[in-house]
Amino acid sequence: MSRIARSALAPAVALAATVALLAAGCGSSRQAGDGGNPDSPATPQTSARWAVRVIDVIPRALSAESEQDSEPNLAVDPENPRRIAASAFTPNPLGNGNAPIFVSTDGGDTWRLNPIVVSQRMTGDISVRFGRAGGALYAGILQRPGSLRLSIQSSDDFTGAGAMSELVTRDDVDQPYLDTLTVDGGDRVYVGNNDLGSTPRTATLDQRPDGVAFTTARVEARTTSAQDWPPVRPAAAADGVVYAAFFGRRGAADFELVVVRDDDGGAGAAPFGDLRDSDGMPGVRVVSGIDVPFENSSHADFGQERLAGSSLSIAVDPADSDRVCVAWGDRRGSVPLTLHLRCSADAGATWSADLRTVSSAANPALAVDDDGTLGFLYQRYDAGRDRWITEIEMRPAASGGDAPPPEVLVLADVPADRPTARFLPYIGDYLHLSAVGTTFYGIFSANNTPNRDHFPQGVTFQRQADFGGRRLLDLSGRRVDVSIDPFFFVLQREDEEPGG
Amino acid sequence: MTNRIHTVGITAALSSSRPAVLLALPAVLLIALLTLAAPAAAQPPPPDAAQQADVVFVGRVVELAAVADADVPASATTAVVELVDLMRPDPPGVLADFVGRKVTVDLRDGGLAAGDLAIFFTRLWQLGDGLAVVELERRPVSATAAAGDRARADLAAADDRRLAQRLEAAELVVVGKVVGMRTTAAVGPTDGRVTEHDPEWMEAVVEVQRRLKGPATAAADDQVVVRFPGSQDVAWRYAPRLEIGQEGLFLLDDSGLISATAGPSSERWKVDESGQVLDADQADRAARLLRGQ
Repeated sequence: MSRIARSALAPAVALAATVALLAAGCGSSRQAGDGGNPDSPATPQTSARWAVRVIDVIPRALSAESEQDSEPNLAVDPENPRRIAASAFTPNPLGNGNAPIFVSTDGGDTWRLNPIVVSQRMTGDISVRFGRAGGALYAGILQRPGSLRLSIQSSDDFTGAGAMSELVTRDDVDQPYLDTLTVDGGDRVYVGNNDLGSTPRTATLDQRPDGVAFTTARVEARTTSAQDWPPVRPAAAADGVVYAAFFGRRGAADFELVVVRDDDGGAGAAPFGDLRDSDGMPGVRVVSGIDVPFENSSHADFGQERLAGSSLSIAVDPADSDRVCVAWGDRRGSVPLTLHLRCSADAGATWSADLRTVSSAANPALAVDDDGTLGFLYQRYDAGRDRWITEIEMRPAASGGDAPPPEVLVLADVPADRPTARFLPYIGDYLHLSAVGTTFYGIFSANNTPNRDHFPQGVTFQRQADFGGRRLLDLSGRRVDVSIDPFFFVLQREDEEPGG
Repeated sequence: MTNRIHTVGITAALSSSRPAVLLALPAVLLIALLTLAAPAAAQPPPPDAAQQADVVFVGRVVELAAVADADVPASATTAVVELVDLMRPDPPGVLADFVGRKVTVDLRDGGLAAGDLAIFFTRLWQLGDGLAVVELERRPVSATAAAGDRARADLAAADDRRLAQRLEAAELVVVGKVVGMRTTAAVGPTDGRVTEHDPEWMEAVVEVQRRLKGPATAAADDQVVVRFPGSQDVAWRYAPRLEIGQEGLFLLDDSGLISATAGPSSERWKVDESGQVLDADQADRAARLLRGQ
């Protein structure tokens, strides 16, 4: 559906189109295998359709490490998916120098540490993305020393020894989260963030819409209760349409999930004003009156994790920028966090009801591949077993009739009571999922006990591990304490090459 | 330009003074017998080389224009070097297993041949299956002089310079003991803004035993109140956490904060970065550095 055609649609027509497309496409509300109950997933299984690789990112040379490598992020070079960068709360192992990222040039089979991020020893929050063309890597970080210093950096050679170049720095900013788009050889960069220097409307995008100069777009138009919440997530489509999702804070426990859109990549005098709600304001409210809890302490009833109001993801269909989905976490009753999945087939004008809910879960991440399949990654806390379970649901697009049933694949099912948290977040306030072609690439953090029962799809460790004795070892064979590691994974259709 | 001239100078000296007999000795014997020195004509490395280098080692060149691990990109400037003796980091930590192994060094210039020995001042490039580093400076090795000790002295001096810079940045430097603890009502710079990175300041009362730098207070009991982050958030991963009874050398910054409780001017100090609270036995060293010695 073209931009012009969509803008001409009457609301009722748009709603009807949304319902029809959702039934056939990015998430049927009639989920086969779940009896129509959005809180009942398909039975976890080993997929017949997907080949899955799970790899512990920690390199062999760091076998002695026992850091809490939480809150991972991932960048896959769309032009060459063998080039991958990953980040986490991983310190420079020498105790000083720049902060490291993990790099791979063989599609994620092997990884090594490269300390090129300009931040003392490690970063605060960090997200990473490649440009869609040209191979430049971008990072949006909170820089050390300090706690809320935004730094947007880039590197033309992410495996090289040179430090990244700083493009933007600013204080009083929280949780930078990146997406990119490349147009006519220029990398457009979008960094969603919570700019506490712009209270009370803090939801912000630092953006480079022309591929040259950064500007700051304030994307909250409505009255807030002092500020918006930390996550502001961008999603850029190849045709230049860019979305962002954020939690608008309307009261102490009263939030709205807002989606804004810009049809021209954020250019123009009033960016992100192309999607308006019934109040005439920019930004459609996907849901109102929700409670997004913020409790910055380790929760025994939530697997040692905190509630940082940060469970939010948005993804757009690369083949049709009208198809966009969001997933978020809010509090329902006594359950700390419940995830919800909704989609729109009319560029965010109207939204489905919940297509899926996941009780007691965090860290949703969405991606849509070239075939329209929606990947929904999250981490679910099983209170009865005291386990963190990392799952991904694959929701195929329909071809003619109803969509096939979603598949749920368990990537990890690990103890949540060990190791003891050294800091927060325990496993992360977010993680990441992306798609290149028809291959999905993702990353999560979890307990690293070398136990094959913990990884139903299989797992590969680079670091020294004794799976028989379920022990980690250093290079001299001494036992190493269990810790939190980042795990990279690939879901590839059985009959296709990576990136296919 | 100065660096480049210096490097060419020591490279020439290395080429002319390398004793061939040493190349045949086993590495362990080599370490025992060698004293390491720059030729008399060589300049010391630039002031910041020893300070910037995070990996310093004695190495023997194995192969030029090559890499020790296939996943490190090879170039005309990369070389395979056997790591004979590790001088920094000390203790060696994750690099301990690389002693005796081949590593990749991205050389800043030429002048080396297979078999050459040198002290490499480098910074970390990649850690994967193997180790790769980028050369910042290089000192040739001689069997007749004693600059292994000198190199170690330079590294110690670099550590002193680093501490001296921290002392210079601190507004108040005291030796003291934490005698009390109180929390604040969070009137820090975040000023009520909600962020998971809020420091959630705590306050410790430190009894001053020795004042090395900074203004004296009017308080008769000579106590200062020191804020430190109480937050468990990752932003404060390496921040000092003060405990009652803790003794130390405190390098205090002006917090820029208004105390939650009305109090004397002594209530304006903070520590929020690693290296701001040291063992009390560092006091004499700090005093010496503050005197410029």
